[in-house]
Amino acid sequence: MYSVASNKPNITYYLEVLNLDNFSISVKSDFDSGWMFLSPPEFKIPPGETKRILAVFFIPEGQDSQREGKIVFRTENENKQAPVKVAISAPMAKEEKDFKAWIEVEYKDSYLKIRAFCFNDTSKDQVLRYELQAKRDGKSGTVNISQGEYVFIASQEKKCLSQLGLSASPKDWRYMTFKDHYQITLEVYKDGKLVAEDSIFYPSILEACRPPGIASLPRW
Amino acid sequence: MWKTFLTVLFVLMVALALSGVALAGNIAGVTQTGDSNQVDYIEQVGDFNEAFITQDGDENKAGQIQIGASNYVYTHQEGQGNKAFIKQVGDNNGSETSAADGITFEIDDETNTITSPIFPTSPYTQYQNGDHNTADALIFGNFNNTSQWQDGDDNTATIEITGVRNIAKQVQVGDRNDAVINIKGDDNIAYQYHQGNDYDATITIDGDGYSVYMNSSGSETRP
Repeated sequence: MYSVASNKPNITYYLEVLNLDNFSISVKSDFDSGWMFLSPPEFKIPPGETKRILAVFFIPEGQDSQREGKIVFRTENENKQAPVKVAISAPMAKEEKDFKAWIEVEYKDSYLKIRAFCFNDTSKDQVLRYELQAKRDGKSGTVNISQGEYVFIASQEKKCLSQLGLSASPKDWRYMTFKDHYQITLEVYKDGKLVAEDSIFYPSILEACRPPGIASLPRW
Repeated sequence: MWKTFLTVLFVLMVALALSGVALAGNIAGVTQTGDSNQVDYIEQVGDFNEAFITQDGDENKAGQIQIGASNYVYTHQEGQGNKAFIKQVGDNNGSETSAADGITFEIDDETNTITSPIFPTSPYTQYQNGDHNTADALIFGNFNNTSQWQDGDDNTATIEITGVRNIAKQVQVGDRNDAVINIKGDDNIAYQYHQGNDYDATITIDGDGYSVYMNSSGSETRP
């Protein structure tokens, strides 16, 4: 009958409701008014047209929580589609946005040297926890390396959190181009809440570390 | 028959030497030839002890427990379906010479380079040659050096470490092998090497330190 799409990664969304029938319908929305607001909550849609409605989800800034709920759209004759699932994360406080985390990869001497960094751009010294994961999946086997710990990072300090090495000979490079899959992820937490992250996936890691003699690397 | 008799005789001699708990500076050894032999465990309490178990056959079991410092344990198994287990509690434990060798690979913070690993010729803590073998090492302490070498297919090697400044090394040559290193503590080093296919390698470190994984061709030196 109709469908809904939402794709704006913010606390404010626009929901598009499409009437797939060949007649006009009246739609009423059911939602948790305690933390959701839809405008308009009731509306009519001509046949084949789309109605855009505003959806606002109220989560206090900095609250360490995620909220999940659903929105149900129903017509006059109580026909309803499957509920629209809503999952919203609390927005990061300003200070938490000031943590920067990134992964650096270097190919040297038949190794991928993977290093994880974090920069504390706040005015306070911080104790953070990081989780670095490196996964390699290929024909010859799988490798899964993970490392994590609590680290102290002074205000305005850049710190290397972790480093690890993965072998990758030139022969393997040609091979990996077609078979192996890399996934390296870094997550930094403060008080259990994710405050910074970075990730590298194949083939970007190959492009960044492309050894001499291999002109181009096909995309996966 | 004659071979069996010799084996039994030797085991009996060693069993006498192993009865009770050894104190500091003791050497205990078991050599067994044949199948389904079982050394539940050699237990040593104190410092500067050495224990070795050599088994040649199938479905054998070897267990070694050391509590103290600067102890050395060595297991050598040849055959199928063998199981080896060691537990060390204390500091500066490891294999006889590899502890002195220190790190066989290096990641240099300053120069940002990785020195290629060198396969030590020193004895490995646990060595298994054959298929369907299992090697487990449980380490509690600091400055320990634990190494496992498995040559064959369908083998499983596990090292569990709690402590600081330990080194864990695993080498597997063959197919369908699994290697696991779990570490809790800081300044530890985990190193895995695989040659073969269908391997599954896992390194998990809760703490800082280095993890190095290497596979396929390499300049290997068998122990």
